[in-house]
Amino acid sequence: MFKKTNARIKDYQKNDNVAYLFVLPALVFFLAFVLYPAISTFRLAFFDWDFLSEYKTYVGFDNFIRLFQMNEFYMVLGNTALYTFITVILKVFGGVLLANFVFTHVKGKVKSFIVESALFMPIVIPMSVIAMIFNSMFDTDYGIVNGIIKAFNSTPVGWLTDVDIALYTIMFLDVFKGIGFFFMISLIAMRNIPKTYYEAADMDGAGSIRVFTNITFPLIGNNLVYLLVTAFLSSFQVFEPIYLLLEGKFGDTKITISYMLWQKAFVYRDVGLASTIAIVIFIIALVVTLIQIFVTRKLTYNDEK
Amino acid sequence: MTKNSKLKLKKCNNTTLNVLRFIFGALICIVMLFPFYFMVISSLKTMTEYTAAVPTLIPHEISLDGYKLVFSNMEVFGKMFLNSLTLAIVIPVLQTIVCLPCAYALARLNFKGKQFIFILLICAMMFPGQLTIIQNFSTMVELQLVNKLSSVILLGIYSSGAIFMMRQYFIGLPKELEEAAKMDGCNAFLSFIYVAAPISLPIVSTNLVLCFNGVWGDFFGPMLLLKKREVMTLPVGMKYIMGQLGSTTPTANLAALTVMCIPVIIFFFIFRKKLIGGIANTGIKM
Repeated sequence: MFKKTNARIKDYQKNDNVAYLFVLPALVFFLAFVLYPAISTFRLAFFDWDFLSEYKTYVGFDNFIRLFQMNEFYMVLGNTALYTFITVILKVFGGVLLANFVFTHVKGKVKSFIVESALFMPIVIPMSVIAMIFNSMFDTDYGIVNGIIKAFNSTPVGWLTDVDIALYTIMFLDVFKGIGFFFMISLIAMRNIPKTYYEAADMDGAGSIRVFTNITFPLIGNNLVYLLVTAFLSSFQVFEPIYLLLEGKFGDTKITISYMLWQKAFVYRDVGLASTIAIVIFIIALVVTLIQIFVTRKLTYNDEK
Repeated sequence: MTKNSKLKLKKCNNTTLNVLRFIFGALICIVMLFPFYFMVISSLKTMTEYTAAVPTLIPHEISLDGYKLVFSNMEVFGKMFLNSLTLAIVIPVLQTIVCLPCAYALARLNFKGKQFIFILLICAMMFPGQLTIIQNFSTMVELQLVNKLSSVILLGIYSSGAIFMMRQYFIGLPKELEEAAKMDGCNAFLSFIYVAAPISLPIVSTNLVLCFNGVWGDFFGPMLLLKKREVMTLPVGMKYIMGQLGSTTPTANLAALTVMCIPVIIFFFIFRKKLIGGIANTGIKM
């Protein structure tokens, strides 16, 4: 009898060969549609190709040289940096502050349900739908925003037709759509903070600003790194609203890096150049992710200490 | 100042503050909901009212012309809706079938190369979509799957995010259940089918809801791969619909958008808890 149990324990500890069967399907799709194309993009950056012709011409580092000598590339990087900076700050810090507002001041189930839903709903609505609504709202002639401005006898603004303003309108759209995510995560994190901290603060007579700066904010600090990185990665890869609302406008002076990649690859069919742009995007994402890992480690290390 | 009057002052301050807070809360709601309000009322306006110099916040005269135009184009619109729905059902189901066993194996089973596979899949999370789309597009051209829904399905099945979310869930489950199953003579395969899979229902449904929502609004991939009108999804076809209806009647545009929003908003209120829980799952790192 003992022998049998021992055999079973041994059986339990050995390799589960069935695991390969479990991993295999996912691994096949991963290799075919994630890893292989990623590696292939690095290869394509050294070739001149147009998707159609049978032969790819090897051109060495030509594509990289071409990209780095393009004035357009630096303009696009500048646009993307500005766009990313503003939207990340607004989404993350706006989200945290709104979450703190709801957390401390919105009492009652119905009220918090309404505010939370209002902030969270745009996440679920497709970006293309929101972009189209904004297109109507910010229309120069018939849009309601200009309508209100006109009602106050001011001059209408070309929200989506003025070179200097259009990108900011898109930033507003992006913040509108995205802020709910950062709001919700901060709010959940705040609700997980033990109540005793707040009771103690209340006993000491701390005001709501002190409570935020001394308790809430430090305790959601770990999340903040994650939120900043997530916001960064989604903002600097922005494509949809730019494509839907700015395509063909302003001689492409207001486009971002993802739009440039799409344009080079799928409009001009310059696959080599597009691949180099993809690599630039990848390297930026990689650096930011590594910073995240480093900072998070340091934070948890300090906590443990 | 005595203590008492100080307290009174504080109280009075609190009432004004509370009113200000209420106004601020209401303002947030108004700003966030206004675009949707605008969409609905504009879709109900007559053309003359829509183009009036001073816009109205409540339509004087309700007209269903916009909706009539949308539903008279039902052939196009309905087809796109159906395409979106097909993708949004097929992809989450296949994704769960493919990713759940993988997540289970990574969480619970011992096998050679587990660590390596795990690190490989982690690295993939850093790949932005732009890095893979060029080769994926050319693969789909080679496989002659462009303008077929299956191309988008193939690209949507694997998801690192889904695997990690489900793996995390399995790690959090007590091991005793499966150990008991093993003692009763179940092998890893059977204990997955009979024990682990059924108790993973909460995370499976979370993944289905999140993935459904993601696919429903997905744009970049479908835009590149689905170019013919018959295979377009709603987000991709939007520009086409807008171009066809909106050039003559902008109110029809907004009617079409309203029709697209209604299912999503219903979906949101049904699965609100799941969506929030799912986001908490992927997001919180405390």
